[in-house]
Amino acid sequence: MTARTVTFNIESNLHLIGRPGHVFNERGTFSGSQSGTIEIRFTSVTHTSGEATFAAYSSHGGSVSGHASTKGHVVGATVYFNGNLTVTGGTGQWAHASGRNLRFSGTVDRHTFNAKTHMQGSITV
Amino acid sequence: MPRKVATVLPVVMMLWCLSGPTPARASDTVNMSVAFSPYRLGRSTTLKIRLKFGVKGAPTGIPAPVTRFDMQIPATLELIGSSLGLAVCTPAALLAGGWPGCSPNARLGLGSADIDLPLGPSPVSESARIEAEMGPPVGEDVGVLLYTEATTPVAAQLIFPGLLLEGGGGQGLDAFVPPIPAAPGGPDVSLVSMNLSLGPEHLTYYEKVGGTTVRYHPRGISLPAKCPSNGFRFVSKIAFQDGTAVTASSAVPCPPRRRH
Repeated sequence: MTARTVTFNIESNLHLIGRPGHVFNERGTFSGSQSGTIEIRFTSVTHTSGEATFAAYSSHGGSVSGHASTKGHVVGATVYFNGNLTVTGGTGQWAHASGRNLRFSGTVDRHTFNAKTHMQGSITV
Repeated sequence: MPRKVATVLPVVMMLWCLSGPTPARASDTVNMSVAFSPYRLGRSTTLKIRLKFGVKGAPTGIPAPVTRFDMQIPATLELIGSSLGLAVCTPAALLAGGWPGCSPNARLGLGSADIDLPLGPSPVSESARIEAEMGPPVGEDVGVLLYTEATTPVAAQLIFPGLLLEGGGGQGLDAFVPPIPAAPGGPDVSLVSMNLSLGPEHLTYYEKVGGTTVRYHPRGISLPAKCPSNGFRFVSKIAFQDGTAVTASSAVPCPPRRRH
């Protein structure tokens, strides 16, 4: 089967699972070029560095997973973060998904620790 | 009648300052201690900072005025995981109404300072209340407003806009401190000690839940789950009016390992 490039441009709305701290486990839904449910784990996000790993489960089956380097800054009740995302694989129809330098951005509400994210770029499947 | 001062000083944050009736010497000393309360790895905490200024070899000496305070904070202590400073306070609101003029959800911490006022042959001591408020951001840096209020014998209200800076291997609290004359044309006041707590201890925030206002304690600065090998090290560089600078450090040691 020939590899092809598809748009990966999704918006996510997530809520915190567990306690906030140096690690935020977030879970929610995403929509856009694909749709489904998503889990993101933010680790040690600071003004200068941070990491996130994610797994997005398509409503049509299969999943895409990867990681991102990110950093954030605080403005009042909101954390704004951005960085670069790498898709490293998946399952089902996305089993061979890969992609680099996708844009990763979003916000975290510091009151509820709910998050909104945007992933944008192209991946090869 | 007490003199009353209300001003915004065009500077960066944290500390306020000092000076004494005696000329600045190269032997000013600074002792700093830092503690966490409570101290449990992986949990939120209140950061307690204590600074004591003095003169080497002169227990009753008055230190020279401080002109800059630069404190390096371990990068692993992160504001992002806290709910401190959910509201933003402006210098104008502080000037107009003091700390009650700002949302209680903008409070980051509180403390006190002891200052010496060179108002006569011997200095007069005075205590000032300190409120740390979340200020407007400056670029991607966190703006912090330090509001100090003293009442007697000299009434003074001062605001030090400042920044929580990020860069390199950590973060820092950087403040340039202007001279504060005890009287018009007179020598500057001296800071002899300061205690500042940054975190939820003694702070109450408010939120609306179903039309009812509910009180709660905000979440503090997050401690990492693992302690750095040499503990949490804080380093402050304090510059004085005579051009000298003193570096003070304090390390919070790792907590003893729990036995299961």
